[in-house]
Amino acid sequence: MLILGLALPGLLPALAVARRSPAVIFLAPIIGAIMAALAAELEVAVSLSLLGCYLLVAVTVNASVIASLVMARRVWRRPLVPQERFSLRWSILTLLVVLAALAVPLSGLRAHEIGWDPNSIWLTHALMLSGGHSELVTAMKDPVYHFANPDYPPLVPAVGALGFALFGQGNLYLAVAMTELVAACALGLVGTAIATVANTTGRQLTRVPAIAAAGVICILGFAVAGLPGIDGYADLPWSAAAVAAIVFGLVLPKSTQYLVTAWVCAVAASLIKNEGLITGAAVIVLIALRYRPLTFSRRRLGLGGLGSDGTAARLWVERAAFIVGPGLPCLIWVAEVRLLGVNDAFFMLSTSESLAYRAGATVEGIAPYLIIAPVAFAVLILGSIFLNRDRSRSGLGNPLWLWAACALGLGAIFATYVFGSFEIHAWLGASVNRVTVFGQLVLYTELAIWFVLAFDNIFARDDARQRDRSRRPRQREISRRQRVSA
Amino acid sequence: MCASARRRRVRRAIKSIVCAAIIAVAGVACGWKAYTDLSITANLLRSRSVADSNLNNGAWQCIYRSIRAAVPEGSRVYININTSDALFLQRLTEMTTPWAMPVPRMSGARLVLSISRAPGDDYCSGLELGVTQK
Repeated sequence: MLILGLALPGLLPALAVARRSPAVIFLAPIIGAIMAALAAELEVAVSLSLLGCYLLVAVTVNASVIASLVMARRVWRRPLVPQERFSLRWSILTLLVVLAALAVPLSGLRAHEIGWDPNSIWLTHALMLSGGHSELVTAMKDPVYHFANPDYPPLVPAVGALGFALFGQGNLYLAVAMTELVAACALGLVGTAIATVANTTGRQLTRVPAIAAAGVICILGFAVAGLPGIDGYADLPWSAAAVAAIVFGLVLPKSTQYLVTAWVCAVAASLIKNEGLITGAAVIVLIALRYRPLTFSRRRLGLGGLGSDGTAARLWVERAAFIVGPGLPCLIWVAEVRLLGVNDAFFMLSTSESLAYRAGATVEGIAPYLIIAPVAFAVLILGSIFLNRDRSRSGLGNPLWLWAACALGLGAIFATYVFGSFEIHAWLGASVNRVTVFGQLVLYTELAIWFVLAFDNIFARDDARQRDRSRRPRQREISRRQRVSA
Repeated sequence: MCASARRRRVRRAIKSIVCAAIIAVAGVACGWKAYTDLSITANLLRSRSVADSNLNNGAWQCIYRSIRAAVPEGSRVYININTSDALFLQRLTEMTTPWAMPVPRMSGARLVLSISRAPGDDYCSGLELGVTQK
């Protein structure tokens, strides 16, 4: 019931974006969650309840999708490129495996565990949003609520508040369950994206290990997050959404379907937490650079030759649109928070610790959680040397895009620790296991992708051997006839 | 067999070995990490752990209802808990939201809220809400 309330308004936009892809099932609730976040932003600005704002946003988005379907029928009826075509049988199988995998860690919801931050931050925010416009704005500016980081983006509390609006506040655990369902949907998107890698290679057999890898990644996401992954912390939802954006936008072949799916995931990540905001923005920029790459014309280098300023200007406008468009929801939130005079708590006070000391402590604190990094790097080197041609043939993105996104996300977290004002060791002790969820999930996803490609190569060997065997009797017959004629 | 065909075979063999190595390394790393979730989930679902969570959540849900029964809606309240007791301070502020408006100073409040541990399981599973007129 909970997930239906979130998924229904997002179903039509999800179908318009992903069509017959198994990602539709997970994309619809994420779009619904984004609508809830937009409703929260609207609630800050205008004197309406969250439910009223949500209905307004949902109607507007669905009406826009219907209008674009009617007016741009030629665009929506475009034939799908091969990478976007999904057979119904494999889509259903992927869906069943991913859902079964997600059911394992989600069974932990029966424990009704609520963590410290989910109480102090997310439940408090959800209750603020439930109070209406004036209570919300008053609470955001109230110094009593400094402990609750009122500047945090609104997606998680908006989803919780929506649950309260629909089912009442008789059970506050409802908001925590909604957060976990958002995390599960984001991981479902990561899983379906990995399964889609097999679609690009064209071999049926490759789909089996790809679907298996999809299921493993869904469970692995919760394993990486540990207890904070199931007791209401927002680190897993934003990390999984950001990783899904990376795979759809920077790994899978370029296509409109994957681009828009990536944008949806990046927007979701940027609306969940401040770390997600920075990482989501970085991923949006990288996607813009991949889809509209920078080119250096001879004319710009002063070497003469052909070049069209009109084309260059159009490209820059498109790049800007690719960044500002999906970045708009989080920019609106940042603007609202600044206008209300709400500041984040991490950079308020000065600290006596030197930057070098804090940097060293941060590296020491983060390193144990990224122990998979050397393994992933070694696989990257081997894969780039031996499987690069296969990867390019499938249309998959250069692996350095994924590593750049990972580095930018971890860099933002590193900078926050180094330039922040809390005592560094206590701060690391309380949070480093959660802020590294993103980095770990990206690296394991990278391993899963190479896993699928390696399997595909083995199956390619088998295909080639079978072709050779079927050719050999014919070659023997040709040789015999040549001997006879001689 | 000519040298180039032999070299191609060697290259293909090396490529197959590398693919097998990638499959093994990636498969073991991801599979092992996913397996650890099973023990996390199993620990979480131990009956004692579930009972403790339910008791804790029930206690705060009871405080939530008590606030709505004892405090008029929209009242300005002061949460009278030492800042060193972060758990009670943050939880009581959370449970008051958005029914009443917590203020940072007692001078701006009409009511003062506090919380204490009650003996036994009376009241809210051992927690007692205090509401006093300023």
